[in-house]
Amino acid sequence: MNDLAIQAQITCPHCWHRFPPAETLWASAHPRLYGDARLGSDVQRRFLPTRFDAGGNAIDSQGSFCSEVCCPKCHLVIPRTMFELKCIFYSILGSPGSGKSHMLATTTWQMRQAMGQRFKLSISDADPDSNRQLNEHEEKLFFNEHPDQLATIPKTEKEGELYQPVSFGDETIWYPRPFVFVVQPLANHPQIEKRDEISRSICLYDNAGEHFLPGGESSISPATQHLTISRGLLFLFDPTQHARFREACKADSQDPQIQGTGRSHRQDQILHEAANRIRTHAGLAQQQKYSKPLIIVITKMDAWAPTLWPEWKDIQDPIKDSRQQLAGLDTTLIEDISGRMREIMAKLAPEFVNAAEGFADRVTYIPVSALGRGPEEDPNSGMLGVRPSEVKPIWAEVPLLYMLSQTSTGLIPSLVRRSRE
Amino acid sequence: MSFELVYTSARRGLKEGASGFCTVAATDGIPRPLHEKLESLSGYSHTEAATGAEPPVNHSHLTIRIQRNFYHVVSRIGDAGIDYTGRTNKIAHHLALSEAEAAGFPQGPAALFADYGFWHTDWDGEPEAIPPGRIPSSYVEPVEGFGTWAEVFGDAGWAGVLGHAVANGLKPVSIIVPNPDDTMKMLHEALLLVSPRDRWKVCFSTYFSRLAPGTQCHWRFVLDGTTEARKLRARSLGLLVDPRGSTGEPPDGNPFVEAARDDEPNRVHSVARSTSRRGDAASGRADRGGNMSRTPRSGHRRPTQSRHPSSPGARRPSIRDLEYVEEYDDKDAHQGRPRRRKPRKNAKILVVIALLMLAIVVLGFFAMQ
Repeated sequence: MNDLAIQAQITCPHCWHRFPPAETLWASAHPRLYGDARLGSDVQRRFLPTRFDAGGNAIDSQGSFCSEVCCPKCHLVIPRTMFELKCIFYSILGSPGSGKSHMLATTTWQMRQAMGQRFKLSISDADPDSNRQLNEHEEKLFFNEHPDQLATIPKTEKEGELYQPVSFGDETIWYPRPFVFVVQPLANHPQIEKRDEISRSICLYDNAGEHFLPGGESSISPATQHLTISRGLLFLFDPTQHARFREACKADSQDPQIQGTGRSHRQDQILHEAANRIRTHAGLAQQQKYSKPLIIVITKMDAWAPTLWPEWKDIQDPIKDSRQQLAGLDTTLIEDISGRMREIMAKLAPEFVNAAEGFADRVTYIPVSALGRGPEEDPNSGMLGVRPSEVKPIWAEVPLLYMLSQTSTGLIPSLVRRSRE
Repeated sequence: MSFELVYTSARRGLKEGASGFCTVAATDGIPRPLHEKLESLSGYSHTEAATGAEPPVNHSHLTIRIQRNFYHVVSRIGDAGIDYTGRTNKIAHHLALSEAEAAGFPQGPAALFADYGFWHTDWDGEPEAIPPGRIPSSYVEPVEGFGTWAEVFGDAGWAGVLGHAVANGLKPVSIIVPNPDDTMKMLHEALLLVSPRDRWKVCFSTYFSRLAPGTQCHWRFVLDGTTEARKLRARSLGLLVDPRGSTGEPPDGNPFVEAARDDEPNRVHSVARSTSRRGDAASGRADRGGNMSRTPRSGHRRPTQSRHPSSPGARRPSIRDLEYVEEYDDKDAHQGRPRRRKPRKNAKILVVIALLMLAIVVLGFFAMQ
């Protein structure tokens, strides 16, 4: 039997509690053993096992073999990969309606396409049940049975399927449901012999935008505390929610989000709110800068770029093949474009640039179009949707790939341009 | 005193700065813990399983305890078209009643839903504080027999399964229904089998998706085609009524089943045992009788295998033209603060033992003196 190597400390992706493997609880399997003090009467009881089978699975008090492992604090099920691989947490944040859910769905879809072919990495769901809602969104956009009909992704709810309630005495805490992926080299990867070292679990959260509004976090909904442990932040800046951007684009754009009555959020305030929470929970001094990467994802590029950045149509693919038959990320190209984006942002949203660069040491600006085109209004319901057959993401995967290249060794290499001698 | 709360997606909420999904109306003076709890009960799942039919509405009655106060929460949660951003919306309207107030409605909580003018089904106004004392009228919808159960499931006796579960210690029952339009009628018909004095003890949900901890739901109407229905068919932890998804019939000879088939619900009101016995929150089987304490630890601990995490500054790969950034080692989750090493437990024990031995030696020395 092969030895199973496990991490010395595990971080629960639900409540972010860190614990040694010896404290892991297991979910009982026998039908008589249901009812858990934290999770209610509808789930199997959690227990600290004393008996195991030959495969290392716990045996509950009724003799059933158990397979699900759980956090000792919140009792929620943890994917096994969190025990075997180092885990990287990333946070995606932004105002309501900034496009987080669409961005996440297109990012993961595009990465599933790019990782295997270009980077020779496999990306898979660590827990398909936990990632179910994200997978449903991907199916709506890319696997839809009716690709010519308008499809919509529901607005993310603060109390919906993306949150899990846990009872601590009289109090119920709602934890955000994490999306966990496993990234590991394929058999033909040049560094396959270092598979154990470079494989990672990646954990993402799709918080409802309301959580990031000032006062949006309560004691029973610490939904954004993952900001503190994240290896990097992806902030989605929505130009259609900024009055100056809308004004600048109105003459040339037919996008209903630009032409409509306009809904604005002070996105710099949301970034300040996130910064305050990070400082509070991480114990950062006020003058201390955030040292991890902050990527400002400028969403809905299809709506504003025709006016403000006409070169967008010719934007190059930053994923390029190297001589080693393995793709790399052209970080020089990304950083060049980041500089250009910063100029546009500094001109139209200087308050936001100040907020970002006043908070973080390393700020990168990456434009994205999750759908490749603007939404259409359904004449019957008035709902905004998109036809799956017309979805063509532009740079949707780039922010996360760039983040991986900057924060993780061995997965996403950067391309180094060498001059010919 | 009763409290109301209306929760939906709006440009402006009741709380300063709130927008999107937020409280738009609440009774003046509502306690904050109750406010937060009611917001947390406002979840709604938009589903395509009801394509072609009206979106399902969750009419529910739950009981909650907030600090020392016990409330009956009667809620209406449903689809609310689109919000101001052009996306899906829902509206949740909650009414929290004390025990004394609930006693003023002897027909039970389901009767409160008949006051259609009371319940908000959409919201396009400004946020507002609701004056205290607003209560719906109670009206029992006239119900004749168990015709809806017979029409939906082919046998009115299935309603008896619910009545029997109430009498048998308020065991939870899940009912997978094909159509959301019939659930309210099915609920009213099944309640005929429950003695009026026990109706406030029955917690129900006409569009159930999951149970919030700290609450109970005895009658759970689940829409066929949803994830919850699939999970129940795979494994139901309580009683399951699913005539369309499985073969089976209501148990013959059961007085509640027979009373439903014979359309004589009053026959079983005296059969109902006292439901004051409050079973274990996890109890769905009479023979469980267990407690919820954790399995006591024995001396055995599972041997762990661990390896040192890869050290920072991994060797650069020997691939030409590609380079990897050095990984940030964030074992310390508290950035900016030096990590305080936690003394190992074993070291602490060794120190204590050493001190004890030293004390013994010293005392022995003085004793010999």
